[in-house]
Amino acid sequence: MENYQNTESVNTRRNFLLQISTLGTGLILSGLIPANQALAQLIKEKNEIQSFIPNVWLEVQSDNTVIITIGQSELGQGTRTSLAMAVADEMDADWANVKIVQGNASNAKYGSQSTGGSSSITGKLTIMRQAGATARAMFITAAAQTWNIAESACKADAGYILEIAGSRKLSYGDLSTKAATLPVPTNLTLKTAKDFKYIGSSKPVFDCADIVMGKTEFGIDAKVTGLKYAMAAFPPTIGASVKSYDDTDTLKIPGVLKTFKAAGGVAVVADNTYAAMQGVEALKISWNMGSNTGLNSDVIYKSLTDKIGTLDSLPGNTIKTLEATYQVPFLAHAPMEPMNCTVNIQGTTCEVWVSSQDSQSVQATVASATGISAANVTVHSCLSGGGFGRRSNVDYANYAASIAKQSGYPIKFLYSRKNDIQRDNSNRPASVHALKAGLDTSGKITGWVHRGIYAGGGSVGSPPYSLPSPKNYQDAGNTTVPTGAWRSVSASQCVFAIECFIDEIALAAAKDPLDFRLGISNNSRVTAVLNELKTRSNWTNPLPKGSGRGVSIFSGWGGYCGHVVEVTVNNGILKVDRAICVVDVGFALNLFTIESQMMGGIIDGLSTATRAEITIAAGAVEQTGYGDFQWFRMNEAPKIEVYIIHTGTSPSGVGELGFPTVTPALCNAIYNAIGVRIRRLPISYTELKSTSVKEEINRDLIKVNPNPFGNEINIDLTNVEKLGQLECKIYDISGNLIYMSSFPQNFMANNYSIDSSNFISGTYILRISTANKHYTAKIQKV
Amino acid sequence: MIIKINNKDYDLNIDPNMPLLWVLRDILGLTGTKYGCGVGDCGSCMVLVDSVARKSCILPVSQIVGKSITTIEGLSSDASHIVQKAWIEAGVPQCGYCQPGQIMSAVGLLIAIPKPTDDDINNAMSANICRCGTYSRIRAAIHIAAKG
Repeated sequence: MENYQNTESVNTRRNFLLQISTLGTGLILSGLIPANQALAQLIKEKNEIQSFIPNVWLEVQSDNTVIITIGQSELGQGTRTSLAMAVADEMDADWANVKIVQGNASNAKYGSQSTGGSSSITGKLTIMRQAGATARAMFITAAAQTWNIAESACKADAGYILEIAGSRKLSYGDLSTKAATLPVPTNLTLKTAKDFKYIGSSKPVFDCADIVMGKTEFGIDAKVTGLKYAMAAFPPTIGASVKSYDDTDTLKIPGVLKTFKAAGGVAVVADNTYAAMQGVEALKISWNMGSNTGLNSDVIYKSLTDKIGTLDSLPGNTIKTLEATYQVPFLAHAPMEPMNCTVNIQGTTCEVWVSSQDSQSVQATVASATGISAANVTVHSCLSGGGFGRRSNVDYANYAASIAKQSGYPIKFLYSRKNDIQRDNSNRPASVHALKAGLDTSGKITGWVHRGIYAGGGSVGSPPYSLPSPKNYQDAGNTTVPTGAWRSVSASQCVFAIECFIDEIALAAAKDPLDFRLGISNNSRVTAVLNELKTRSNWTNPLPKGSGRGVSIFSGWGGYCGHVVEVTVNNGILKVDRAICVVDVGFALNLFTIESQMMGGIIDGLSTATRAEITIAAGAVEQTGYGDFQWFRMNEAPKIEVYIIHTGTSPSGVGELGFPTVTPALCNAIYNAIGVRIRRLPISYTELKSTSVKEEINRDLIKVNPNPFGNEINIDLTNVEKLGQLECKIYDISGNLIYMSSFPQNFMANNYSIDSSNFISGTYILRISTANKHYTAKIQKV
Repeated sequence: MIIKINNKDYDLNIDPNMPLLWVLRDILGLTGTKYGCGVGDCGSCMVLVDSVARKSCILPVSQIVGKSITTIEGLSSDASHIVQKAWIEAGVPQCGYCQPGQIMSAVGLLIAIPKPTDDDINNAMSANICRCGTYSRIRAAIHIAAKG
């Protein structure tokens, strides 16, 4: 069973071919295509359609059908369509005759099929172009030999070889028999840009018609004779395990077949999904709750802020110091298709249908769980209902295989939506980012320090700016919550912190935030993206009161991406009016899917910035579904504009590139609109009110020890309310702001230290702001 | 219990409380209607009940006896329904998982309001979530379909 046309027959033929190739029948290797993937052969079928198969990616049938096989998983990013465009272009195929099929898991045939890190186009473009160019060269040779003319007198066009000086032409189907007898060429000439027909064009996903008819089979739609349905009661806390359970009520439910311990909990196998769901609800389980019942979000964030420590001092020419701490939450991936896997064990072989980002990992996992050798595990990599990094982990395949083995049935194992969110085993790690920067007398950045502390793995990179010896540090706090890759990985947290902080610095330097970025750009492509954003957004045109515009830029995955977001904040209600994306992808393969990825990045960025987060209480994820892990819907989706720069020669990744800058552009827009700085995500934690009048406390309720101070200011906050986002500002005697910092979220300590080595001797005004009050004191440096 | 799906009658002996979604998917093999949340949050399971878009994951099958159900498979067998054609023209799907539900919501909207405004689209389509973020193209496709 497959969800793609012809796959079954193609694979049968391939297997046959591989068998005969080992006998040395017509096997010729191409130097540019890995040896185990190069086969030129012709086979005959009962229906008399013959196939020319120059390599594992390509098959040309005598009826002119061109079948292109893609090894990478399709998750909605358009990889299958886009890579097929590269093959079709290089072989001068007629797109109308192209059929695209998904390759089953096979490292021997396809190399790595791991689909993540925006690597499919960057990693596979060249070999797919070579696969197509191989066929074109062989068809030209076949035609030249047939007509007894020079190869240079022939040219390829839309599925035909034409005689340049004459009127003869032969279709690829006509030539397939002859081509299959030829050696696979070792010297391939790839097209230059002027000859591209499909590369750089714009094509929606090829299976659009099947999708809109509901015909496309996702992993969850697998159909197998005798199939049973399984779900599980998972541990209620991270690290809990089953002590004992009572399934009396479960087994009374019509359709429930059996229960047993599996998937770290208890599995219920039933005739249909509804019975399995009810069966899970009816289980009475006694749990060993494990050692994490005291774990909650506050404990985790405290473990992160505790690791911030003292940030490095800034150079001596610093006259203004800024410090800020940003906080970013855990995120589940929550793709629309919940995790699932279908496993059919038949003796010593096994067939698997799965929506996964790594079909070979599924193959190895199922082999391990069933004891069947990986070579006998056939994995059908089905269209995935989203991935975003979640499907790189294959826990669901492990559970499905174990349950299939224990139950003796072909099994479709499904996570409920609640399971999918609570059992996401690769959440984006929560993180805390402490940043520090200085400005000199001319408003130039003197130093840059960034410490990112993650509740899991994470790294801190430098923004694409000329910064004097930036100091980046990363560390990990409490890592109990399972974490992993989430669209754009560490950039998803870091760029929010960096690009909001850059805005704070620009404003402290009294510069326009976009012009300030242009002034520190370290790269002409960054400058070009910023200039395009400036033009497209009408950046200098003022917006009405209560509305604002924010900008952000990022470089990664070989590309450059920036956003301008426009918002209106009215009585604390945020509305996103417009989102403009400018992306430099270098070399564009498929403009349509690039635009799609940028649109998706905007919706993801806005959704996670405003509301979505995963929180932990009593050792468990609190969220249960889309009701409390909320994504943008149609009524909130802003007007989106995407502008693509593609004047380079090598493609960037695009899946992740469009996410990181959305959130900081949004938060910078909110500041521009109402003067409220967002330092904690999601934004829903921050009251979006511009005119909160605070009580001025001028009595010396805050004390500095000692006063006068030296190279460190130790502030005693015993008498200060610990409400809201605490901020510290220090002004010189003329009223110039020379130091600004935001305290970590939920700061409750009574002491706070500031590095004052850059301060010149003299008198300063110290001001601590809380939710309701400003506390001011006069302090002195010796 | 006799139920009518895509103009075809099925005589089923099943739990009357089973949500229509699972009847369609597990009993009848009509897997075009998708499971996304099971609690009415996401709209992936949308079907037409007598021309009104309803979430089949929270609709007990007993409640549709005597009514006419249209699923994504019932719109056409060749993608020729005007909304399907508009979806193809606008190139809406990314992963495509939510799109059957989006399309059924759009069909319901266009039956009720043949020329919807953007506000009408916001109201009718906000029952559906698309994690790929195809909203701009969905909106464009609905306007294309409304033009005929």
